[in-house]
Amino acid sequence: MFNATWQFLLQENNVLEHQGLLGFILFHLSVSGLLALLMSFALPHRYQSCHRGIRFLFLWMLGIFLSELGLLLAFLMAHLAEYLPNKPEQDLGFLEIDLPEYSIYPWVTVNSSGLSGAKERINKQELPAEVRIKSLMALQQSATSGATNIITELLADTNDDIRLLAFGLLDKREKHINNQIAQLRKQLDAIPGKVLSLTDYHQKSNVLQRLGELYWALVYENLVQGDLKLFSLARAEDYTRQAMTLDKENNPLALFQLAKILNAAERFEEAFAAFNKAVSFGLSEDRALPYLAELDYNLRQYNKVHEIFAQLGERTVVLPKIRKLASVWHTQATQE
Amino acid sequence: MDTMINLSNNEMPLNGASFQRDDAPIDVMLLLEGTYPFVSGGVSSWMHQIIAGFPNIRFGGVFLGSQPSDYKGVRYQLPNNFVYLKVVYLYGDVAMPAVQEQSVDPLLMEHVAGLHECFKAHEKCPHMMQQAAGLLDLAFDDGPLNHGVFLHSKGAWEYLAQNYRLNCTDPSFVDYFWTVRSIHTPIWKLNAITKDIAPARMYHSISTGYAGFLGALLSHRNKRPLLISEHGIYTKERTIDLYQAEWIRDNRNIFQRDPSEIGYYKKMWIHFFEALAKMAYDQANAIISLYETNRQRQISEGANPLKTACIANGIDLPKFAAQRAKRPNEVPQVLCLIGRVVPIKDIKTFIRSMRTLVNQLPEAEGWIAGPEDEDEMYAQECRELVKTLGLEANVKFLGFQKVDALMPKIGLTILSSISEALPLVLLEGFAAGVPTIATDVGSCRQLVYGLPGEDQALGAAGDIVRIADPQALAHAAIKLLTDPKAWQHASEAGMARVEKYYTQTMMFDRYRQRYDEGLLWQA
Repeated sequence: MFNATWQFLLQENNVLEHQGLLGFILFHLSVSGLLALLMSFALPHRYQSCHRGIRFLFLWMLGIFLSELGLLLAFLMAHLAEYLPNKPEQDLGFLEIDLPEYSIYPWVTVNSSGLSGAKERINKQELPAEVRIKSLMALQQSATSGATNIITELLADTNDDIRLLAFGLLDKREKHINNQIAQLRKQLDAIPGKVLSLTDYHQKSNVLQRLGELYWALVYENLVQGDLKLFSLARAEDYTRQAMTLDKENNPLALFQLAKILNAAERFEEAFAAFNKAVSFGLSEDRALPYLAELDYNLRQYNKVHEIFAQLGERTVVLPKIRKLASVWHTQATQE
Repeated sequence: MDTMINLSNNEMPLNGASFQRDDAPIDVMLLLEGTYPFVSGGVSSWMHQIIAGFPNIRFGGVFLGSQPSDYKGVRYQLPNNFVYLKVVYLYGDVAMPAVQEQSVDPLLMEHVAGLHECFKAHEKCPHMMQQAAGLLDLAFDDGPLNHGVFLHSKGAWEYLAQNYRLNCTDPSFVDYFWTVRSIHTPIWKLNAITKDIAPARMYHSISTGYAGFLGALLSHRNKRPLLISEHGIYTKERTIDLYQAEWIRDNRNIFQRDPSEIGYYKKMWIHFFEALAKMAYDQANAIISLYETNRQRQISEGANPLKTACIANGIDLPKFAAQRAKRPNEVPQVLCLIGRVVPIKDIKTFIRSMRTLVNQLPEAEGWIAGPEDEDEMYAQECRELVKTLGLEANVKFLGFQKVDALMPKIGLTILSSISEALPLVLLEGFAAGVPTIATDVGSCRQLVYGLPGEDQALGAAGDIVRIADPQALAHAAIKLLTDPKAWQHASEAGMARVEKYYTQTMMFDRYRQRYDEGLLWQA
């Protein structure tokens, strides 16, 4: 490019008429020089070992010719591409791909074989403590009642470290929930007794429902037993019902929560009614059916349990562990 | 010149401040990390008991604390034979060396690397403490390995960067850099104060950790013997704390993280405390634990079995036995947890158990007798729990109480702790004729049921339940409180056990022997 420009200037033989181009070249040379000067001072120490003049010259030449050489290289590559073998074009068109499986369950599912594997390792006293502690650490990632049960059993372990670690894990979970309860109770106290605005009204209802969920979480995660479990269930029911009287009477999620609480409190008839009502107000039947099966089982209505599991077995969107249960019940029904 | 400590007020002394009664030499210098005389509790009470029990020995103490705001002044009336105290804070406003470029001899860095290799393979380095002390001799302010060299030399930086590349599984170099700095900073501090501590004829550390390491360093430099007495096992307690610590970051992303592996920085802290313990055990002339399980644990942590021994706690029997006559004929329906209101005592489990207990015995009361100022947030949570469970009429917080005066008023002592060693409070209860319901921690099982043989034949002095099990705790308590015959048997078994195996005289005899050996020791 530089040579071409030079040739052009010679051919025209009237350099002065092309002062604009000459001005550009002079400007380019001086800017490159200035840049080289700045760069030579800004270089890291390890690149400043060569002579100052050589360093400057190198950077100046780089500044002048890099843009020219870059263009030349691009030009050459474009021509070279002409001689390279062509890859035949493929008409891919549109493909039909399967829809990703969508789970309506918002929580993380836990692989039951993973749980039992972890349990087996943890309970093997002959294994080194480090291996058992590793399994326990892995188990803490799972916030299910099954995991809590395994951790609770470890409170009686003979190894001090495992026992203390298990206590710490349970305590952390319980503290996390209790702290949220304490905060929400403060929020609730701050809302005026006589509800004045619509915002307050909805806020109170949401706080009450969340409190109900948190007390239920203590029960669901098996963090409370005996009298404390009964106490937590009573609190959960009370808060949920208070929320429902405000603006959630026909809210399917509130009804679903109430149904689960009643089920855990062994008030099966009331729970049954609440589950059905939740479904009638829009709760997905897939979510209610396993609980209804449990209720029928508790009420000793085993034929109904078969029916529900038969329904569940046909559905595509079912939790893996429920699918296994459905399979067991279906097999039994076939054998009978 | 050191600042002098004013022990008459409740303010914490300044960093480096000291107190000295007179110029006479000190016999036993106690190394006290986060305990006596500024913290109350089992270990502190034991320490006080030992000092008061040897009036002919002149004791001194070096208190190692975190920062002044964590303590609230002297908690004990210091005996006259406690003649010296120096207070050192390891964290908080620690003066750091000025930032200026430093250089380090590469050969010294090779020795540092060698010591780190020793920490990894303790069995290959029988003289690890000597190696460490040799390097620390060069680590004073004017030495070639001073703190500034660690912080600002190219050699230290390159060593740190190399170790990061070779070992670290966490992606954040910045966190690695600061973790290494935080972990090591107290080492220079401890090294520096060895010059300021008054000389003593022997050293006695009440734990490993920083106190144990300081004791080892003093013992090595001054060529005087070191005795280590551990109530709990320091490394075990730190490890559990670190497993659950949320202030140590784990920067691995979801693809790098193995949920069964703890983060690299937690491992670094754990290995650091293990290394401190190994050096202390190396240097110690004798290593004491309270019971056999803990002795085995010390051995597994690197203690030479030949140096180890068990000395059980003992109590002032006549003082507590005098309370027996003051007991009413009926068993008081009062359960009393005597201890600090802190998470390790798991006060919440006791409160929860009271819910079940009161459902069956509405007149029963639960007392919590202990200071609440060590962890005020936890104490508040406990009070909230009492309200939440509707137990305001049945559960009382008594604050600090004189234990002997309390004993005739209670039916059972309760110990719901998640970790203990050999709790004095059970022995004190036994001596006063009060049985206990305790969790299965430390040597509680041994205290309640006895060791196999003659001890076990004395009978059970109460019952043992799993930790964090309020139902079991309540049911065990109801069983004893509602059965006067069973209660009487338990009371008698407790009295017999403490009289036969756990008196102060027995404990003093064994410690007297250790002190005599130490004080007569010649380098």
